[in-house]
Amino acid sequence: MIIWFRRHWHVSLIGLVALGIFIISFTEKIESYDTEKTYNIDAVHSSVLFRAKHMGVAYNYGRFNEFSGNIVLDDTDVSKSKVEFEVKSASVDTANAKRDQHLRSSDFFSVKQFPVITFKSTNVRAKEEQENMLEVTGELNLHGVKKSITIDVEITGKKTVPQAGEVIGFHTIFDIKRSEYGFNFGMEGVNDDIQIIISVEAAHE
Amino acid sequence: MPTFNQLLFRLIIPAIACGGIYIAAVFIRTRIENKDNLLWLTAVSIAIGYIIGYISIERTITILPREGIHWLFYLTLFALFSSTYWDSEGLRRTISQVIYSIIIPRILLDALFKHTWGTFQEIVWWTCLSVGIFVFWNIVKQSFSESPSIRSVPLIYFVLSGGTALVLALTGSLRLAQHAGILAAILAAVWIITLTIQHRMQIDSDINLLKFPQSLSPLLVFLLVAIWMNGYFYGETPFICVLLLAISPTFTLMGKLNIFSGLMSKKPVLIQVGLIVLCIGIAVAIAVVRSGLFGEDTYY
Repeated sequence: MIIWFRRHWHVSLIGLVALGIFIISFTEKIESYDTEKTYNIDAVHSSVLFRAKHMGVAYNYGRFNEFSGNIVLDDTDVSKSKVEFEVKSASVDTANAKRDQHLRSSDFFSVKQFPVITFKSTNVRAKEEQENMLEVTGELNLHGVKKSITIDVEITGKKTVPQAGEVIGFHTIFDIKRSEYGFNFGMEGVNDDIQIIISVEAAHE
Repeated sequence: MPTFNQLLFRLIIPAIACGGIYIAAVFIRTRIENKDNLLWLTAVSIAIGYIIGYISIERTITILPREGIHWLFYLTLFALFSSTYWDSEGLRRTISQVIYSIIIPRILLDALFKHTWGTFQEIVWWTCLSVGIFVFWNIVKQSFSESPSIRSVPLIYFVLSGGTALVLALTGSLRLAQHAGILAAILAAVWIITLTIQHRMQIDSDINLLKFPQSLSPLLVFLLVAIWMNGYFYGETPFICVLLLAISPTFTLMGKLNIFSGLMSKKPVLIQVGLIVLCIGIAVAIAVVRSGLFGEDTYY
């Protein structure tokens, strides 16, 4: 056996290098499986809401019924995490058919020109001294205007359930000024400040 | 209900600005030898009035247009540029008319070309709209020269813009309705000034001084077509309403048809304007029925 190795040392060397490469790549893969997890948003158990003040008097709430997205969460290095979110603007629902039709028109969302609202993260970091809190910076593309925003996101829970496997919950509330996104119509009726409330349940792929 | 400030900045100030420039333009032209020079000043007066109203509604000028409505501003500038040579050269005018008829649907409906339509739909819509704009433009041009009275032309386009504003407001496109409203207010001012000047100066109707020049046709066509297309393709304006509004100026050409010549010889202005108002009235009536204005749930 030893004699064979001595005679064919170059074969042994190639074999050792190949084994090394295999072990390194395998362990890397195991590591990535352990720390980086992709979760798909479960629209049935998630909500995308918005709040606007009518005539400067009372808050009216609306929602979007169709949205999708995924969250890549890295437990060991949060900065490697990513969020991608897409909302169908035509799915706006304020519990009043006439108002929804008006919101879909070019006075507001102009859904035929801007069929989707998207958010794509550019940076995720854990908030210092705040457990389960993330600070997510990303590009919000709304009404054809792309702007960088930073939002605080709370991880509201994580559990393994029989129906969906491993699920995780996120919640965020943030404000935008609609005029900054080209929604200039009807400022007298609907205030400039809009609050967005997103609560998401996502299941591990 | 619109506030006083909204009415002031979106209707009254544009109308006053347009009216002031229009009066100045008429008086400047009375003092020059060749009355056909500076015809484009009429287009300048209407364009400036409209731009004031546009900025009042949109609150800004979008450098890179994102929406169909943003193109209204740029189309006004293109029309203004075109008006400077529209009354003189024939070939350049025809070529411009063809190019604009092709370009306008493409730039206004960019989102549908990108996100919604397939190749076949693109070709069909683009062809139909380009031909439609070209034909409508020729009707508008003809209406300026074929109308039996110079007073009736601004009245016809005032009624058409006002009808457009009503149809759009009833079908849920209030922002577009305001743009049509600016045009209506401006044309109302021009109509009143035309009547007043004609009455005071005893100008005969065959004198070109108060006639709508051909150089005004790009501006009226661009704005009306852009507002209708935005209303139909991006809003909920019914096709039949847009069609009725678009064909209404055709009645100015009735006198050309032999069968109507006898009828038109008696009270031509009244019959023409009456038929146009009837056509626009039907469009408004359809919009009222479709809007559910008299039903419940109108306040939200």
